[in-house]
Amino acid sequence: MNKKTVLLTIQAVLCALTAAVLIGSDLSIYLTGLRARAENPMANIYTVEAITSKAVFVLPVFLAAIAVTIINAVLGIRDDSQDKIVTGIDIGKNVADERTKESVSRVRLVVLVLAIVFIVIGIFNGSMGDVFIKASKICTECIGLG
Amino acid sequence: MDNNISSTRISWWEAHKPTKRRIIQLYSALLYNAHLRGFAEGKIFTGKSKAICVPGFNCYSCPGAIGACPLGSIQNALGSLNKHIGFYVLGVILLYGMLLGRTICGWICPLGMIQELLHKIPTPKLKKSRFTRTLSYLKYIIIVIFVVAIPVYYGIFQGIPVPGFCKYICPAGTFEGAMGMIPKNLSFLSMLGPIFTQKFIIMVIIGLACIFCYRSFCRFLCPLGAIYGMFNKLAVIGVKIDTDRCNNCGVCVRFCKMDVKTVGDHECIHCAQCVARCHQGALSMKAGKFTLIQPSKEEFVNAEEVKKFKKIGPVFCFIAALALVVALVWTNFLDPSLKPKSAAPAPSSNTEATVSNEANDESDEDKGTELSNSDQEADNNENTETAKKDDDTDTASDSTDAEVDNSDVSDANAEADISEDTATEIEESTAPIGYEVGNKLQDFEVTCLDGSSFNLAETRGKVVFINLWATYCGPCVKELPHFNELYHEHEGDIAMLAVHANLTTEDVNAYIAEKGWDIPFVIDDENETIFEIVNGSLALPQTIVLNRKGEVIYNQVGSITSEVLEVLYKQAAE
Repeated sequence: MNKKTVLLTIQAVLCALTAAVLIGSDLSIYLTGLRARAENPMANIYTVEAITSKAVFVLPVFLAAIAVTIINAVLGIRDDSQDKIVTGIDIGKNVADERTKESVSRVRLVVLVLAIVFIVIGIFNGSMGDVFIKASKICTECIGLG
Repeated sequence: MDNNISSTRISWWEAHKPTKRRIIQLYSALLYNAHLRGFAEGKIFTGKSKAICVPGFNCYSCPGAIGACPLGSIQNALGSLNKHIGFYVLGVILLYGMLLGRTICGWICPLGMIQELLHKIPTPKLKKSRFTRTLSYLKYIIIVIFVVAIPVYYGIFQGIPVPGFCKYICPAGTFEGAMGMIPKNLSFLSMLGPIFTQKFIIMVIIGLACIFCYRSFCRFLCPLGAIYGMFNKLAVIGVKIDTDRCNNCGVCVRFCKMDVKTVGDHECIHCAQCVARCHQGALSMKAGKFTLIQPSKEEFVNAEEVKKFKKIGPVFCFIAALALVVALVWTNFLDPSLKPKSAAPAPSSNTEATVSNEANDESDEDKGTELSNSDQEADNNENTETAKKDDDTDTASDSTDAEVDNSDVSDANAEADISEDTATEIEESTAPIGYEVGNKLQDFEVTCLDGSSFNLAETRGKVVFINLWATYCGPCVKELPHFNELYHEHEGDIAMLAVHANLTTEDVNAYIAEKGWDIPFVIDDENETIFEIVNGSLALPQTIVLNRKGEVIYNQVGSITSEVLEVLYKQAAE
């Protein structure tokens, strides 16, 4: 194996390992927290202590991944196969069609008019107000805090 | 030197310097999240600009966000179709789609930029194939299930707003919202549960996938990209093909990292990288008739347009820079929402604080909510308390007589007796005024939606539950029945107030009547007086529990179970 393959493989393993450790730590905190909550319904599932204790496992792998990324970037190592042509896929054909061009222009105009009309109606029917309300008072569940 | 290591003919900077597209991506990410002080304070922006949907994928719960996420807004609009049609969001999506299509994904989506940066991490990469192309249709299934079906089903048939994609999948919500807020709001940790665990794992998996596979989220999961993709053929701005020059060699498609079949189809993000690849000079990036990126072949370059572009370019850059500066200054220093709304009681050692709400009277009357000052002088309270306590006990007994059997009546009376006994023993708290656990909550008086009065000073001797909620908040609506149940279970010993956020476009009274809840409800006034008193967060729901002395024993954001409510009641009653 050449140097490039080795470094790219190390990087891939470190990235996968970081993700695995993150997921494992998260699940571990969650399961431990669930047990604590079964005994005391007021107990938090996620605590600063639990997160800190798991960070000890995540940080070394994460820092190693960053270090290898920097080394690779400095050495200019990358998987250049992504710059090569892809084979084995279907490719559509570009065909000139004047009628399509004309109809696109017409549809575009209709959509533009509709969009403006809808926005104006929305301002008056309260749907713009709804957008503002939901964006200003956030629901905890909706951002994954529930 | 190893032959496989990239050539050193061009300098490192030349190879790695940001492209124009990357600069535009960074610019738009900064513009969408111009409220930089939000990251430092852990608070979201609540200025009027939040009524405007930004084109790209940017969670509105991000502390920096100054606009609304179009996808979150679509789901919320679909969930409230029975109230009114979300014409505004529909119009905005049509407008963005018609003008830009998926150019938004390629040029001005912060999440797209993050995915591209992750893909820069040097690892072996997965190339596109028939499999990835098939997988790219997954996002349409996600639209149907999570963006349409779940919000419509829960919103219309269950009356609970549930934005399915935001709640179960969205990595932007977890990354920008949850991860952006928690470091500055450690109390939010208390509400993290299964949904966070699930969404965190999804976020990590998507992040990992993006490292190995170009724009994995964008290609396989993003419903917003799928929606804009439907407009791609219509979009005014994008990569256009000169069919007279194109010889259908397919180089553009074969080099493209997205799952396109032709340039400009529903998968194309108009990143314009194919323009340089085209040997025929058939591709260019256009905005209507104006060419933004000229064909690669010099013979097809329009010299006049290049000249024009060189003239207009600096002007356009200046306007863009000015817009960013204005957004930064306005959203961080000048916006009216940044100013304190009322004389909110910060935690202090003053035990005889009063709230001046005179300025609020006008708006309160408009809403049928009357907030007035209440004196905290201990002697007065004791007198009022004793008199009020008798009334409460009687009322509790009366209502119980009418509704439940004799054993329940005796239980309620016994509880009321205990409460009465305890009330006589209650000493006025000497804790400092504030909203934190151990503080005594600032007194206030409000007229509830049913016309009754709620005076916090008169609740001494009772356990007090204050719940901050809104009709448009799913977890709030789910937990309120537990409060209602608890209120009736310990009637006479509990004082309860459910405070609806001041922002609403629907009839809260009718909503409460429909649900059959009969605890005291109030809508907070324009200045958010009650929210300020209890340190109401910008996230809902929030529960505040006071013991018999009026001291805060619990003040947390997040939904609450009936089990926890019972534990809190017992703790407060001790």
